[in-house]
Amino acid sequence: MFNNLIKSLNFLSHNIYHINRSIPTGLFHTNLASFVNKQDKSLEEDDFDLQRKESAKIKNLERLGSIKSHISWPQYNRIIYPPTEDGKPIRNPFVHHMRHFVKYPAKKMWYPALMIRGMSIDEAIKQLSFHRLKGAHIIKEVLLEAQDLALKQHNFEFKSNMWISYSTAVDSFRVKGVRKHRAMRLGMVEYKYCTYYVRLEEGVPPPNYHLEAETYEARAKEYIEKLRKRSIYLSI
Amino acid sequence: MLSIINKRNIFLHQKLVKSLFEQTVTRTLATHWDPKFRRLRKNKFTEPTLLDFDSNTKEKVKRGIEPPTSFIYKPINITSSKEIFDPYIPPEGDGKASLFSKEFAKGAVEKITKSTSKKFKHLRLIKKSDSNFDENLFAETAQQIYIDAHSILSKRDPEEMLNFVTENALMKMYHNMKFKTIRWKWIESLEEPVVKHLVTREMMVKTDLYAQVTVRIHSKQILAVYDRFGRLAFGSDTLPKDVLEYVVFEKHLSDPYGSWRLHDKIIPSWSPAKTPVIRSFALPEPYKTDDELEKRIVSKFKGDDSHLEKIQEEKS
Repeated sequence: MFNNLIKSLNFLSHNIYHINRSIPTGLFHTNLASFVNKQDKSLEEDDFDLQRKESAKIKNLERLGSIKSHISWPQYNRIIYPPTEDGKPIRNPFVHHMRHFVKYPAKKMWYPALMIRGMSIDEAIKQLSFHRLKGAHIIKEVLLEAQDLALKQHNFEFKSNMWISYSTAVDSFRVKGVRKHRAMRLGMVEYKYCTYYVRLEEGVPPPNYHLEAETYEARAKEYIEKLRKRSIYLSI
Repeated sequence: MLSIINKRNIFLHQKLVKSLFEQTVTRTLATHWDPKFRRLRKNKFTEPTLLDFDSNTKEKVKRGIEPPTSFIYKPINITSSKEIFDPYIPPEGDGKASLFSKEFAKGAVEKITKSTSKKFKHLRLIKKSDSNFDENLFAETAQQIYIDAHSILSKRDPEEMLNFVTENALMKMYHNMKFKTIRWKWIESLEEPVVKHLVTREMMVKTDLYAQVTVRIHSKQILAVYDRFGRLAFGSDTLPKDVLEYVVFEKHLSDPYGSWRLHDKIIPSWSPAKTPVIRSFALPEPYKTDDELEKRIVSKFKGDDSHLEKIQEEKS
């Protein structure tokens, strides 16, 4: 109780000093309130309050469309395919995974993502652990998370019987800063964030993943399929 | 990719103590030949407010930062309880051998549960709310509720299931079923369903009454569980199986809209092992139970049948 008295006296003493300044300017009541609120705000702000404010800005930008939405990719994991009579599934089993708001530019992240396409998971992890860039280690963490997901939730049987069919890095948003040059010249600095998308499929990786799209036969097939997919809208 | 070690850069490499892992990960640090003005260069840049997306709340809690408060008020559900009052202990030889055999006689002594002597008093309380409560009739309606509940499982509609199933059982049935397809069929019942045990309990106040009834169901069923991609994960679509179960049904007696619903199952320790899952998997880590948490959780239901003594006093 004694401590509380001391605290209250200290609080009053601080305020009384400032009250004498503010009385002649305006109403006693409102100025007191504004001063008290300012003091309390500085005490209440935490790391999480700051983060919440700035994440709200990001959510607004996502709604407007200037940042790509991050919800549609993991929603593919919720699709349920009906069982077939043969026993073979309609579609090769897959898992989608991603990590968003990675503090790394997408241009640099794209290189290890390109390297991985068509590799089995063991080889990918081996290659990434000895890669030069920082983004490679982030990709490695994402792959290990995706592997755990696949084993526990999506009924994949073996840990190493998977391969990577889709991996890209896309830039999401940038924070701008300023730097000073020689004379009264300023320059803009961008701090860049990106997202990384992965799809793992079950089975042995196909032998010629990179070369499949480059043969004449494959390219002719794609062209013909494109032409056959066309449909005439609003036709009888 | 090691950076070229000149004489001018040696003092930097000495300062940075690298682990073995970091030595394999070599990135070009300090590429400038004369890093004299490196710290002055820092002053030319503004400090942006970059957010911590990488670190989790657990790491922050370890450092001493409180986690964010959630202003969601969780609703409290009174229509069901989370436990089995006074669980029924089934005899060991049940279902394996016939009534008049040696094996049944060895392990067939029904262990007396606490409140078997007060069965009629519990019945009297139930009949106050349901005047037409008959044990034999109830066993058949309970079996029908059991069939309805399991046949609706495949539709993946939790609101429809709540008509037949309490919230406690919905948690257990619906959780692992979300991303799978289930095909369940009831073929026939091998023996008549029998009511084995009746309990009523109060929750905090005299007027709140909950009743639980255990029913023994012996039946033939088909179960097939399919994967997210349509692959068979458990069971079979054609072979039926004999199933012996002790099912608990619950009703909130003081609720005018209450009804008998499937609450829980009693799995005895002597039951045969389940058939294995088709695909092989690595054993997960053993589930650790928080002993301190369990001590802190105190059930709001009384452990006694003390509310039955007042019935005699009213009569007398």
